[in-house]
Amino acid sequence: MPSSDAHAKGVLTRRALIGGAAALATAAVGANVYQELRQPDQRVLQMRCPSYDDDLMIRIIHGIMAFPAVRARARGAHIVLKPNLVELRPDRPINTDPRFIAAVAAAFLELGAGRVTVAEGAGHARDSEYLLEQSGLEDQLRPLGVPFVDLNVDDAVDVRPPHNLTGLGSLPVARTVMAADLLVSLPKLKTHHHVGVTLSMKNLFGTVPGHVVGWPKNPLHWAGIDNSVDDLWSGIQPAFAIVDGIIGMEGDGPIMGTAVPMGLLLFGDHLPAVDAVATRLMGLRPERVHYLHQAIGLGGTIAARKILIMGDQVDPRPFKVVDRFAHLRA
Amino acid sequence: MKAALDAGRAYLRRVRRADSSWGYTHGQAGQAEPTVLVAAAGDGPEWLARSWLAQASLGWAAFLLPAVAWERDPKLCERALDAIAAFHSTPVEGMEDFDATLPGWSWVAGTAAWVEPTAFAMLSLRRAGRLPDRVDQGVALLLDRQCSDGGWNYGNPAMFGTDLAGHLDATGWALLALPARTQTQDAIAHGLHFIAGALDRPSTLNLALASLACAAHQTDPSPFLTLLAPRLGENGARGRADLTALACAALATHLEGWHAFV
Repeated sequence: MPSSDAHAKGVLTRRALIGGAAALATAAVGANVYQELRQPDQRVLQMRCPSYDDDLMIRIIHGIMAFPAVRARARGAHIVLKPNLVELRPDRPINTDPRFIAAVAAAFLELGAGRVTVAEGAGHARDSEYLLEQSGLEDQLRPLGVPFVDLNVDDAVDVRPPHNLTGLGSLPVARTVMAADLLVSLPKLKTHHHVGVTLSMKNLFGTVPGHVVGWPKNPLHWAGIDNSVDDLWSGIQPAFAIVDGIIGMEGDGPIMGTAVPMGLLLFGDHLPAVDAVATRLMGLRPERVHYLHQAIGLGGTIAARKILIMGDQVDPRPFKVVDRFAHLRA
Repeated sequence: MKAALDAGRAYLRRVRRADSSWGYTHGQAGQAEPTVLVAAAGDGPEWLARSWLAQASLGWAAFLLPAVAWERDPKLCERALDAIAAFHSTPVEGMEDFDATLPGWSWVAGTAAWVEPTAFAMLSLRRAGRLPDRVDQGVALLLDRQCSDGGWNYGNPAMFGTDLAGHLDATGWALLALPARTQTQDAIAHGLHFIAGALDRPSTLNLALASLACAAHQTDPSPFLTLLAPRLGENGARGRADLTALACAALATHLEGWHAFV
């Protein structure tokens, strides 16, 4: 039985603890509010799109036109489209769909682009010829006269990310990417067993030539995938993103997951905002995805209140994640 | 097939740069991998870009140089052999699906060992008759990394408890690098069975490596070569010097009776 003095001390201690905790909580809330307030306002367009055969190019033109500055920049410009091509497995929706890639290329050409190039440096699969032929991407691009550039064998340009989160100083990025007038990230809506989600920012891993860093771009893993994602985004600053969420992937993505028919396209000119909206639509919390949260400090916007959602109302559909990312669930 | 080999070599001759190097694509500055691989295409001593290879920073492509150039220029290969000997991959503790502490070679310093660079280094060491203990370490790594389907993925046979599928190109390099021993007999047999899938998943890389791997293990490569030959034309294989060189190496094995890597 504790003495009354000890008991009082205990009460005092508890009071002090409660008071301290309340103060800390208030400070934390204040910090969160401040963190939200400093995020620049951004816009993201949601668009329902039930299938890859459903007037896809027309829908994409409408989506791009919702961003007048992007549309204006596209006129006469060299547009480089960066899809997410990983490896081919007919039974899994691993890659950005070739029909979607071709529709985006056709849309930009329709809007007056000078030329369009599709460019990717697959993370570990070196055989781009096989991917091109067997995925059907080559057949989709040929009638459009749109070439494919394998970024894994492209010349590299040293890019110095402003915050150097990786500590590497500079990152080798494919010349085709850096020479583009307008770089458009075309990710697939997927979960990822190493970082939680892979969307328009993580898609930038494919801009690093494999012949410099090897396959699967292991130095970026060793420097921290989250840090590498943020450095690539802040160093390259892609102008636009369109997410292929018509069929996404949940579970053990980016390769071994399962298909989710989501019927969704997302458009935006600020990649963290696009990825934050996509993450919420997957029933996950973007502020718990490390590279998205970290992007706030680099000028990124992920707070729901700072992103104006345009277009169609779309309800979140909870995506399964591997156990280590259970904490991402909303 | 002879016409395809001639076309491939003609393309390589045409896109050779003034400094005797090759880019991956026509017009690109000289790159280490295609310049090394062209030496495997076998069209006489002029194919070895000695001065360029001696001066350039070859990176991981140095692991492959003695495999294709040892007989023609051992002196040139010494620097690459030194690099192979001095290179040690960084072990990774705590991987459940495979033993990531086994030593091998990585693409760049300070990272983990992967199947392809390990295979390149093993091929060179075997060709030059150097460091048999390091070859044995490479054998141990490749045996540990073989996937349940008989092929090799780029690095891991499984991830988070899920088996990964083999890839034909990585499998081709692993099979080329594995010496035929009692210890490797089953792995090679399973690998050769897996790589027959190149007939259903054709590409220049898959078919060239499948035929080279089969030829290295006394298995008939002609079904692969039949599909490979039409892929070589006026622009080589898709205008890529590295793919064209590998395709030429595969065809030369069959048509001229020598093997570029063994």
